[in-house]
Amino acid sequence: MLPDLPDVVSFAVPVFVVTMLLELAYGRLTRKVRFDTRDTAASLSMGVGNLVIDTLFGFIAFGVLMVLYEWRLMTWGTGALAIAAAFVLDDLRYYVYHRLAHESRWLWWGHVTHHSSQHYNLSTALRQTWGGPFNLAFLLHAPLVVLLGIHPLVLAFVGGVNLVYQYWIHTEAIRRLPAPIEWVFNTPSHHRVHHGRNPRYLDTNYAGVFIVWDRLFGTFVPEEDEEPVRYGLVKNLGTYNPLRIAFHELVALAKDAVQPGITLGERLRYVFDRPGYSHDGSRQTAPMIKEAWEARRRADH
Amino acid sequence: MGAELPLPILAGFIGVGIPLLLLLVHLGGGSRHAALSEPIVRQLLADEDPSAELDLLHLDPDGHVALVRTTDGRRFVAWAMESSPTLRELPAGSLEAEGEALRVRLGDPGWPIHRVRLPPEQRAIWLEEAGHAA
Repeated sequence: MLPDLPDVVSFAVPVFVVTMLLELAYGRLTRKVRFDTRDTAASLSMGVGNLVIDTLFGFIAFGVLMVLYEWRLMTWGTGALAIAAAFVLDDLRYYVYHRLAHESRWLWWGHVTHHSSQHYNLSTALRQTWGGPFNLAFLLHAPLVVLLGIHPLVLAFVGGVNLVYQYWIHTEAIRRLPAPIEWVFNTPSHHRVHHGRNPRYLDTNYAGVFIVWDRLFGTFVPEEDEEPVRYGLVKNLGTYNPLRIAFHELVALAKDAVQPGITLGERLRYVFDRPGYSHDGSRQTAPMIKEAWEARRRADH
Repeated sequence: MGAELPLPILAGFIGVGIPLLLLLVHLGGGSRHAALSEPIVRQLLADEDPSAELDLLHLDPDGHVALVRTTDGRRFVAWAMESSPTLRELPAGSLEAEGEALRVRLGDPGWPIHRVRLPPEQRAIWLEEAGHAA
């Protein structure tokens, strides 16, 4: 029997509104947090659009996972401890998803939305993709459903808690937390790094809740006081139009993949390889940018 | 899912909270454009490529857009997006004359077409640059 698990995201919406107002007030007093009107409007539009699209189309993903659940090899518990364990496992699933979302253009076209602001405040947390239900990323839940028998409703609940946790770390108002917390959990400091476009910070700190995944898999980079984070994309957007923010990378991907005169393998690489891949070497991926930065740094020393 | 926030309350927080937040951001100066300047453009260039050196800079009269050339011959457009200046390299064929203005088209769906108004002599320089780039 499943416990009656609440929809935590809906209950968090009032908290989102109140805390953004508080952060704005704090920013006015201390000048440590910046809000721009159109940037904030764009972020919030993306958030509301994400809520609507996930509500309208989320049932497809849920339906597929429910079918898979019928094929489960075992049945996961539904007690508090089992749900807590499911939360940890789902956070590992999130790490894998998030890393793929940066390392494969197929998922990046949606996730780029979240990184497209040059600001870092609580509204940035709500700048979410409109493509979530359509990129098949929900299939990353399949091992948890089939191999472990975790019910899709439990995954929806722990995924919601994970999402709400990640909201508050999108702020410059908090510098660093006590060391044990910084060691175990994703924090504003760690996540600022993740949003950085500085070569040092590119494609790092993918964690949702537990930063230990990044420490374990070699993707952790600490925030350096001597190198302030520059937020946004390697090639920043020049628009606040929500439709352009949501779909610019999908359009660019399609244009690249259907261009004349390239092989099928190159077309597939434009779709699934790293953002920045080009068949003629005219663009740079994150590892290339980091390598060039490392070389400059070595030469300077 | 089990319990969820009743829709009227959810809609109320979104319908009132978002406009209120945006109004406060606006009243706090959040809609002001930070005008571009040479130091800002130099910083943008340094962020893009620490080895890049500024060779030519032309700002439009209100300081919203700038065209930039580096000593190694690369061309860039800088744009002040509210308080966030941003810089992108100009690919070949991205500058065209359009009446009294220059049209900047990067061919990137994430960067709409911009129009830059410059004095005639500066516009002529950039049209010549565009000819070289093409």
